Amino acid sequence: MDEPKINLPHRLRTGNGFVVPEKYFDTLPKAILQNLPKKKSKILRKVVLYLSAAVVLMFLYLNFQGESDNVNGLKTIATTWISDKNDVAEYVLSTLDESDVIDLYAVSETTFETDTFSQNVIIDYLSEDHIDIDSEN
Amino acid sequence: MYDQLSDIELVAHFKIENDKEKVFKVIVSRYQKRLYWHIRKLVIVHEDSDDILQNTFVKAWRFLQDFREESELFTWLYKISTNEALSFLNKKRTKFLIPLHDVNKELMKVIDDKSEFSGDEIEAKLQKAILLLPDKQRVVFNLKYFEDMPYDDISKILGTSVGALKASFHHAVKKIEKHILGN
Repeated sequence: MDEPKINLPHRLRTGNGFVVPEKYFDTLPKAILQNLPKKKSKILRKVVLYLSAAVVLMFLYLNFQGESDNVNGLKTIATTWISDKNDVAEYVLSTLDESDVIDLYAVSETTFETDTFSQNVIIDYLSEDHIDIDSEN
Repeated sequence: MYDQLSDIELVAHFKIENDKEKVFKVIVSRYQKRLYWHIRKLVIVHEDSDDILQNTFVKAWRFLQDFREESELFTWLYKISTNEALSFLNKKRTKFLIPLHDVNKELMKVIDDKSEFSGDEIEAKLQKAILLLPDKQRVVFNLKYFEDMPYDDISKILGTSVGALKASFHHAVKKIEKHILGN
């Protein structure tokens, strides 16, 4: 393809008309060099890396340390609560006489016979509409 | 001392020497005006051109160490600056969700601003006519018309075949002539 003939005044090729601030090009190289990213020394980078790793490890260590303390605390509380309840049970038993103990035993051995609450009674009970006291409030 | 060196020698010195900044300063001084005007004709506003030019040189600084002399330094710099300028224009369009022609209309108004453009009427008409072209075609027209850059070099900058570039320039010229001479 031949080069197209351009029917425009030749002077348009050499100028452009855009305004540039005075001395812009004089100061530009210095401005560009000042904006260049500075390379950190290898030693400094290593130091920063090790320090960062140390901080992360310290953080993880303290967190786990804190968690084990919490677990131990919970165990202590649970053990104390259980032993407290055992103490109460032992106290109550110690106040009962023999006849009370026999009665208590009899009650614990009693089994509710299913005939007492026949199946039909149970089904009837379950099928009735019962007022939900809570919902009325 | 470095001023007298060719581009190849400058790049070689940059790669091996501890005084990279002095070498790079020479590169900046050598190409600042060409790259600035290339960018300015695309984005029109001086402040934007300055930002893009700075970004161009920052990128050049970062990647010059790995630069291979398969292409010439100036085509490599032009490639970076072209990509930066076109990316800027694309971001401007998507940022404000305005269609293509509205951004160009906005830039045409800048040409009417005497603080940005002091050329005469026909110069203003030419710049506005160029703004009517698609971005890549503007690049082709500017490099060929204003800088008389060989098609082979433009091809390296844009990654487009020489044949396609010739066709693009041909169409661009016709559109611009129609706009200016028709008005």
